[in-house]
Amino acid sequence: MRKLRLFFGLLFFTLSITVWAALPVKTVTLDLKNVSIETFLEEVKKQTDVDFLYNVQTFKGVENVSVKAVNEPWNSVLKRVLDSCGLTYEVKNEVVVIRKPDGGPSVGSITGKVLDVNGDPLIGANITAKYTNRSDLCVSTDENGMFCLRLFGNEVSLTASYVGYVPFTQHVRGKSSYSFTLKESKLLNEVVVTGYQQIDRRNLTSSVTSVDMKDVMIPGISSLDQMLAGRIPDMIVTNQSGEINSVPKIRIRGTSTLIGNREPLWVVDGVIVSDPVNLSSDVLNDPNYVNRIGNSISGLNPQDIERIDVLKDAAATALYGTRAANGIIVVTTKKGRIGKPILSYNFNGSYRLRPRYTDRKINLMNSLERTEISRELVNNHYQFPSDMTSIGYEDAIQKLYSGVYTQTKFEKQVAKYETQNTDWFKLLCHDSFSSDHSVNVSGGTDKFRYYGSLGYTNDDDVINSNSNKRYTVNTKLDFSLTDRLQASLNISAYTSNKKYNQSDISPIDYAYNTSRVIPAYNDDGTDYYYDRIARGSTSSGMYKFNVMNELDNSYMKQVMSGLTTTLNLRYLFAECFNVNGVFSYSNTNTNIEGYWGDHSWHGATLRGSEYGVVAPTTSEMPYGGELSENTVRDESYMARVQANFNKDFGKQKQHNFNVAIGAEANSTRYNGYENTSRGYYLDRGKKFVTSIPTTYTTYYQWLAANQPTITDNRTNLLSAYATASYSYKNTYTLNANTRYDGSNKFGSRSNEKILPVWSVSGLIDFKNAAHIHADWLNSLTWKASYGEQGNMLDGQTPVMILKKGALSSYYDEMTSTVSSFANPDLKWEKTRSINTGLETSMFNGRMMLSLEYYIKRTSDAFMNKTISDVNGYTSYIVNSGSILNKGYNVAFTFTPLSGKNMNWIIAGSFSKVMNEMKTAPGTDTYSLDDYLDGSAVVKGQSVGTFYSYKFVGLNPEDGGPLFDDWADRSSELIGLSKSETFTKVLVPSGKRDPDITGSISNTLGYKSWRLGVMMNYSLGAKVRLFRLFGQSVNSTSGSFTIYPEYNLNKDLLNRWKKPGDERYTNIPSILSKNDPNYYKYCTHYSAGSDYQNTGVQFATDSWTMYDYSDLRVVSADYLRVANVSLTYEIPEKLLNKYKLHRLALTLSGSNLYTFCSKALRGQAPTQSGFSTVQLSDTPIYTFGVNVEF
Amino acid sequence: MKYYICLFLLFGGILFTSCSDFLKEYSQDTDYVSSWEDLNETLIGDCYMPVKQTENLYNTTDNQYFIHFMGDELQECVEGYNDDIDYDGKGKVFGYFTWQKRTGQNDTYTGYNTENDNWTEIYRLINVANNIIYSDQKVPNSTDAEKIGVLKVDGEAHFLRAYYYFWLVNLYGKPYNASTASTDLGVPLKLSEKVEDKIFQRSTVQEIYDQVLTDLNQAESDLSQTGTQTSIYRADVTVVRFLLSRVYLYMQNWKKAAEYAQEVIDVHPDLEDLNALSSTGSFLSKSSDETIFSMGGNSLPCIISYKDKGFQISDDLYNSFDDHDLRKTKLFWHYANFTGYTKLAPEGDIINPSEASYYLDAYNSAWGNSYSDVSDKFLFRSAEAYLIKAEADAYLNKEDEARSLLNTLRANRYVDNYQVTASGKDLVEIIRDERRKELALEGQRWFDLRRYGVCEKYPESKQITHDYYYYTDRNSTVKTECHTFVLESNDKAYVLPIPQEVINFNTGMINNERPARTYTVTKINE
Repeated sequence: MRKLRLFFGLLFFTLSITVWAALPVKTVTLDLKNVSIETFLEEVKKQTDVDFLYNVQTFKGVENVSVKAVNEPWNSVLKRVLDSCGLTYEVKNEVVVIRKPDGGPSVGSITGKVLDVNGDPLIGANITAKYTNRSDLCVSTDENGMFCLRLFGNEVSLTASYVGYVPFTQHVRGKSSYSFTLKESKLLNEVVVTGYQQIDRRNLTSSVTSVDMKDVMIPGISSLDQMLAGRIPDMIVTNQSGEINSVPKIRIRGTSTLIGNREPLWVVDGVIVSDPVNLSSDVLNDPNYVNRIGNSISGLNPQDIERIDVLKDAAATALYGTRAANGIIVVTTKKGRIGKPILSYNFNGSYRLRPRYTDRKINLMNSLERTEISRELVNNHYQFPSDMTSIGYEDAIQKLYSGVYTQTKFEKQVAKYETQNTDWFKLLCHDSFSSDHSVNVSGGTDKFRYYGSLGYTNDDDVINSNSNKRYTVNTKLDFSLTDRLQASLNISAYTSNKKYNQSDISPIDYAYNTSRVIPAYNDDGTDYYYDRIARGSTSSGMYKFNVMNELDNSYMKQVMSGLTTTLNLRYLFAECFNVNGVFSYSNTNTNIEGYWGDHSWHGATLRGSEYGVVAPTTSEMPYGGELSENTVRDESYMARVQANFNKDFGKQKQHNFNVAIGAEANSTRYNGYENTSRGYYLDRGKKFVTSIPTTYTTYYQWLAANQPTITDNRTNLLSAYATASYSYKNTYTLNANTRYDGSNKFGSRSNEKILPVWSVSGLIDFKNAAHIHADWLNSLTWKASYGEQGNMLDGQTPVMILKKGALSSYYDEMTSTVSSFANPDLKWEKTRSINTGLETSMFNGRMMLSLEYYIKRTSDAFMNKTISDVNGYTSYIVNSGSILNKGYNVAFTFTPLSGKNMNWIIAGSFSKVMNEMKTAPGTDTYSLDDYLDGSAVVKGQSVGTFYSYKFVGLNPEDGGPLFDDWADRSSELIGLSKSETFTKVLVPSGKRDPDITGSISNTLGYKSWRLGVMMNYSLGAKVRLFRLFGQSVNSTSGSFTIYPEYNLNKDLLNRWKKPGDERYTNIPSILSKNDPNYYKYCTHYSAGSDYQNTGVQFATDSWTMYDYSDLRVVSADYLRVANVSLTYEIPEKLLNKYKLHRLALTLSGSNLYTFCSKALRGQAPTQSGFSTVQLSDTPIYTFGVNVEF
Repeated sequence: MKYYICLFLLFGGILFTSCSDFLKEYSQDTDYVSSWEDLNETLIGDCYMPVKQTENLYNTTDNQYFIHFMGDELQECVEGYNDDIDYDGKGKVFGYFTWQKRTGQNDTYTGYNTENDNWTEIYRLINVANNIIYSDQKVPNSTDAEKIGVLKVDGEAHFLRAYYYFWLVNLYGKPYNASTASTDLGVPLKLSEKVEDKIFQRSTVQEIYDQVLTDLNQAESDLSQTGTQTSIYRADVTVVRFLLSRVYLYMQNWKKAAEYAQEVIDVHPDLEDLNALSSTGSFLSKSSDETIFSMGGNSLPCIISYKDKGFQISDDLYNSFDDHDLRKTKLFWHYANFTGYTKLAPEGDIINPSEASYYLDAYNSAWGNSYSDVSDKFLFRSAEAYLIKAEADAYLNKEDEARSLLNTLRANRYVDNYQVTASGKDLVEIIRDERRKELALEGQRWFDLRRYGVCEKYPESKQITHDYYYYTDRNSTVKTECHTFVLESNDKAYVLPIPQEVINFNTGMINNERPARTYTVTKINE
């Protein structure tokens, strides 16, 4: 708070200086005799600082003048003098223009008002009178929206314009008053915000999609990125998890780098924002990673957002330099609007439904079915693994055999298990209620406008332990200090408190995979514990486990707070020339606290004993629990100065030049501190154990090795950029951009060479160019762009880099290690892209259509190349990759109905991206798992393509799965490298990312009602079904072993049971180890030593192969009813009664239904069998109220 | 208006004048090489072999541990203390211990362990040495201190590179034999600091030895100008000469071997008198008078433990000591069938040596995860110089000198009765036997066995037998079978195969022929 106040103080100081300096003295005292008119003007200028603009020719033949004035306003003196000479003047942007009145004398005046559709006056709107035989006259409306304009003729064409409104032109003949009513323009049609410039859409040569926040707002969702799914052509938003805290991955126009970061850059109000915690690109690129920490816009309240512009091609992003290769998302926040203050309150209450066993997407066995399987296994003498948890039927029968249970006790117990049906989803999840409140106030005059908002979001996830509370505050002040100096100040701050579970416990995965036979509670209501094996590297053993106890005794808490201030100054030197400066400072503090209590199973595994039992001397945590702290402070500032020149030239002003040159300094710093402590008692006043006996040597060894980690990462960038465009009659436009970046990144070689970031682009408006006069066609433009971007990795240098280490007690000297060896031949990774598009608007904008096509080719892409270890290391980075991305998109908006009472808008988009890897990576770069889960990069395939085993059928004898595994021709595999073997034996199954995405939205308005239906779709992605056999990946007895602890997929009920079944089913049988045929399947021939001498192993066992076979790959195509909303606007009559400005009620439902392939067998198309099961999109029902006072 | 222009100019000025500082490369902990001191730090941080924790066999991060298992110094324990089990370690070392065709062979013959740990680590260290040697030419070299520093760095880096190639060629190449060395294949030779993205082929043994000598001569000339080291963990000129004497010994250049050994003895004649060693004192330590140089850690205290599935000193070695040889009791301990290792002092509280648990706890448990101060593989001490000189003199027919050196050493090792009077082949055999006992488990035996086989005078190749036990399962202490493997005299397996990973990558690289190993099975019914 102190910081804020200080900042205000500073700001006030700066402003007051400028105000004082800009006040002109407005009176003159003159006594001139027989001087030329020019001398007179110079004298006036001397005394008033008023600038005059005139053509010397104007004064030809004008006689000298004599002037006498005492403290008279300069304009009245000027008028008197000029009138006497037959001249006239007008004030244009503080410049006094003097000229001859060439259209004859004034014939009178016209007065009127400019109003918006609500009848409110528009202050500062411009009225231009256009004459055929003289130059235009222009006036502005006053605070009542009134204007008065002198007329020079009976006929005149008047145009009223106002920023954000559609200009309106009226031909006036013989009238002395006329009032305009302006309609608010659809933003899309007017300007595009790139962060550096606002470009008239008519002159936009690059590929930018702009959306109004109102159109993409989905009530009940608290972050912007999640709302954008399917809304922007060429942008794919994938959410790994339906959790509220999960941040989706965003890819704009495919994947153009292999090693580097693939996420787009976020820009808020012209300032690039940084992530609160800098995650490495390896982590972000991992397709299975779920980011719960948050990203750079996590603190942004969607209610404060005005619009979003997504910059896609090189021409649009070139001004951002090297960091922009993945596209830019520009967010513009709301600002104050001229008029009386309006207070607006917005509430959304959302109800989320938890997953249920009855859901279509959950296909798991109930207790009866699971027990039946167990019974069969026991009857068939299935050999259970030695490390299994004895539970359920298996436990009961063991107790029967060992005499613990009598036959009746056994039967009773089994009957109990069969009906147990523990509802894990109910225990671990709940139907949750989230709410979101935001208040904002906005208003102002033409000199000063303000916007302020407060937001509170309380998101409660369906998963019990997950929540997010966010508080936001945002103020934006716009000043017109003088006619020439404008300033805008934006201060925003937020705090968010997140809670989520430790990543080792995934409640959804647990609920999916745990047998419903296991009770959660004992009969007496206490928690039921079962023995669970710990398979750690340090300890192993069985400890008591109950998932609710585990969640109760562990957490991850994240507190994040951020502050951003931005000052934007614009000074108009002349109408055509201004300079603007942007200064921004922001800091974010993130604290992530992880806790494992001593009551938890995890705690027991660290301790090496059950809770309450004295820890053995080998214990790593003899007392208490574990607390880990990770604090990251992100501080960044930015300063930018940019000169803009925009002027029309030529007789008819047909030539327009628009040039901007700027320089920018940018600094981002991350300071991190990470530490883990043990011996923590959360419930004993958050104390640590003070004395741990020295007999716990393992603990002390852990302690000695457990040093805090400090990270200090500073990125400074200094950049210069320029953009120029030329437009002829708004019909032909050409544009060029370039940027140079210098950085302080250690070892990044951007200082060495000029960065290859540039673009050229152009457009033609066919309607004007070809003089098409058809009324139905409003516009038809074609545009094209070409650009080159470069990318360099950090830490790559032509010379060796050392890493400083601490003192070595062994040598008693300081030590260093080699951080990276010299890589002198590394060049820039280059991406060249071509974009071309066609845009048309017809029937007064009732039908708008755009088509775009692009090719993006990355050459010299960085790749890890495997080299002989004789070099001392086994891989280095080379420029050997080549990736091709191409695609197209179609977007349209139709307005079939547009009337006073009824309107209907259909908007939709379709985008396709094709991605292909053009070069082969090193033959041993990727492992089998990389091929099976799609992280391997293969020449000729899309990035993200995954491979599967080729399923042939079931063995009619024993129901075991059979594959085309080259067993009959294994000799052909001898001597092949990994990649050759895998690509030969495995079949490509498709890719994890869709290639076609899009959305269709319908908005239907009838009187006060509005219905919106938003659907999005995704085509071309493939997904693996959940594993049927492999529940326990870490098992020591083979991953396909059936453990009593785990639940099974219902599909297993239809498995092969007797010869002949192979005709009806392709689910393999469950074979016992006692079955002689078992050994045909348990070890694959390629894992045998005879083969391994000569070939590469490509499988372990047949059941794992089955889970990873092509049979288990299905299409992930879907069409989702993403959002349906119904809004009722309370009619004006009622509003007036309660003195309200607006009152609207909204009912909405999100993720209501997904149409997808039947073969998914209930699995959600966004879920996959690649990794742990995540929460899939849960239905959300929201009620919203918006009141404006 | 001028005011604003000034304002913007001022601002712009501030922005651009601070530019050079603003763009100064910054990193938390990385830096370029700017002086010999940086390289000096890198030598100990990344070029001398890292000191690793002492850990049990399965967890050990020591990549050269296998050297002790191939010769006749270790055998599998036949019993353990109180059913304590050394999990999974023997499976890891199986391929080396039983001289399999591939060193990564697992004991169920179903798959392979990693084979290139040692290879990769040594080449990594060689690459660091290459880079240090290269960078050392670029750092400032004008003041006297800088000149000395640059020489010191250059000398030590050359010494290390020589030592690493010497180590590699003696593992993966045939023992040096002057008549065949120029055709026998050694290991790939890479001396440049640059990445060479190519398929490597093996250089000959002669080429590697030539390079080792070139590097050592360079090191000798550099370090003779820089004075002695204060730490035994860094090489000075005496250390370089020590290695030269060892290299010449391996090359059967007796004259030079004797010369260099003598130079070492002149500087460093001290020998530890075992008669004076206290009962709990240790023989090997960094403060010992004998120690000249040591690099890396020592895993033996944890590898040798009184456990089922553990390893111990071989009976063959233990029984070769006379009873009046103090080394038998001061370097080893014996309990029931177990013989352990006490060349390094046990750490921590000594429990009662009459209890069996002592042999497990006082050493194995106490040493776990701690750093040992003297290496079990890369160790130079004066006793070896005496032995090298004695051996070389014996071949050179300077038998009196040889006997005198040997007796000087033996005087410090035996209670009495140490005088040697033998001559001719007998003398050489006594020297070889003395060498085996003195340098037991210091990583020399395997190389000695190899070179005796090709020794022009008195060639001798030993046949070695190793027993490997199978148990009912991982957690069991019940043995089911014993497989007996034999390494024949002049067996091809006296040369290690090139790691399979290396062969796979470097297409066309010729591997050493190593026969598939057969064994005899003895069923055990307990």
